[in-house]
Amino acid sequence: MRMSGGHRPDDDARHRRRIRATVLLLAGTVLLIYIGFIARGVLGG
Amino acid sequence: MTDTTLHTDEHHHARPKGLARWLFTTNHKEIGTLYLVFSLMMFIVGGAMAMIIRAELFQPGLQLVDPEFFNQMTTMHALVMIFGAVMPAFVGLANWMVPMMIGGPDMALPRMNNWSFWLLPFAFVILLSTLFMPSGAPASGWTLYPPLSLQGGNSFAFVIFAIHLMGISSIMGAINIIATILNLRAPGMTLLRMPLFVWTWLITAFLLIAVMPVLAGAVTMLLTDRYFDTSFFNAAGGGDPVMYQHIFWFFGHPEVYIMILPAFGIISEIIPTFARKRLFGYTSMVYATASIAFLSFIVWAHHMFTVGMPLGGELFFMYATMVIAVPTGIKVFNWISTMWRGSMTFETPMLFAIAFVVLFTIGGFSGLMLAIVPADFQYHDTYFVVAHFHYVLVTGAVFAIMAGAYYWLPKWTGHMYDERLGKIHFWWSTIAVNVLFFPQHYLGLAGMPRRIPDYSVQFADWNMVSSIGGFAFGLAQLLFAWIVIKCVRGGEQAPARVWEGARGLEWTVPSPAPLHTFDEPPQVDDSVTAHKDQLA
Repeated sequence: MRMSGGHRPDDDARHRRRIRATVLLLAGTVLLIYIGFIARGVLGG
Repeated sequence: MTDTTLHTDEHHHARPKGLARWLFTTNHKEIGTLYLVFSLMMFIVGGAMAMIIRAELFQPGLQLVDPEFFNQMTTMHALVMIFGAVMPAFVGLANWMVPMMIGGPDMALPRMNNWSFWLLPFAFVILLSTLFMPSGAPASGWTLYPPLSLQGGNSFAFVIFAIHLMGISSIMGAINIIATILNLRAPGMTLLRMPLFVWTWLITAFLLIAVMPVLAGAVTMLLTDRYFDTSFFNAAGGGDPVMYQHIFWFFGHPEVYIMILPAFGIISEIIPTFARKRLFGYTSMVYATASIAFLSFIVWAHHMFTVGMPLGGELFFMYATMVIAVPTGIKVFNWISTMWRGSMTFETPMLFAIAFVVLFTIGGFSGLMLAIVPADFQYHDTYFVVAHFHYVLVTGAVFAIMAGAYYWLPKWTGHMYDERLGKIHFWWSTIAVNVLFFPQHYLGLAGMPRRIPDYSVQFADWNMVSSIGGFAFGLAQLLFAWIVIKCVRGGEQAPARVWEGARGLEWTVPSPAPLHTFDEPPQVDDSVTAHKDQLA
């Protein structure tokens, strides 16, 4: 069934891909910020 | 709404029992319960530390504990209450309520949900174990400012590890909540039909994603400074300790909003229910929440006005901080407008919600006072700051958590809580918390510094009053724990829609909510949303 925010879990591959993409995007953001702030520290105050 | 079909768990495999049930559960309701129970335990542990602090400060002079241990108590009290009590309580409430509110079957990532929770007990065992180490627990304040924080013993490594674990737990929880809200909404549950609690949590989750890695970066640099001879924050090696403060507060100020935005969501659910009116200004509430979240990123240096920064910087951070009063004011006026001419009743959740509006606003106003740079030079590091953030976090965040707990307890347990005891708990807490924290404004304005075990005799009277309020408030929370236990064990059967004025999908499922809800998605329209005027 079509959901307003996508599809139900396990309904189809597209829905799973969508959840996976959300997770990867957010996890990548976390990693970038973590590394970015340490890089800021390396560059000095 | 056309379909709220509920499925029993008959078609599922036999579930493990006993400890295995809780260790391996992937169910959002059970994990929500785990978070809430953990939070209550940490609330009691952190509260016990507060009792030690207030007992020592009951009279001038050193009475009960040595100054080093006193500093460990102030540091650990903050870490336990922030990362162990308040944040897990909100995550627990989100776990329980968000899937039910959006008509989803569970969280989007149930196994990660289990992992998010089970990291926490390990993190706090590690953190609390430092109390028994030769060098003792961290004693430099929860901000862990270098160089002081780097001058302790080797328990520091355990503290950093614990903070990393808490951060990983929070980040995974935030990813889960965002993935759930963006992907598992029922048909018809458009973004602007979502309950305010869901909206505030969505925005909070984005804040967590943005700032928890900043904290992780800051404490990683502390760790390498301590053990690997780097000089990120060591001036002798070309580093800068003030840079730590900038990085810490770039995390720290949004963290304050992480602890208060979900509270706004809870209050926005409760007030319309007991005023029996739609929420006034739903859309403006959403935009105000987003505005507060945005502004939280550009005000961090108001925590460090006294470190010496350019006048232009001080002016920018002062005005940016004051601007936050605008969206916050919108929220307060919307809550008041919702109550205006409503058919109000005053059950315990509503009493806590009204107290929240009044007392949180006091914390907001003292925040505005602190935002004024020349005034902050007087208030900085005094008890005025302690009074301010306890009005925001205790009568704000903690009161909202208690309001939410009373509001949803019948839905979770299937039993009504004891309303008489709930009201006693409310009045006892509200009187005690003001006796505890209001005099601290006077102490701060008179110049009493924070984080000291001893003080000048002119501060004696108000410290004694504050300590009496503290003991009374602590005692009242034992009553709260008893009310919860009593409600779990039995009581009057709660109907599906527990409160007459309640609207939303969570009230269409039986009480207690079955383990699995909305396996078949409901069809949502305006008739089930709390902010559309269905009662007129």
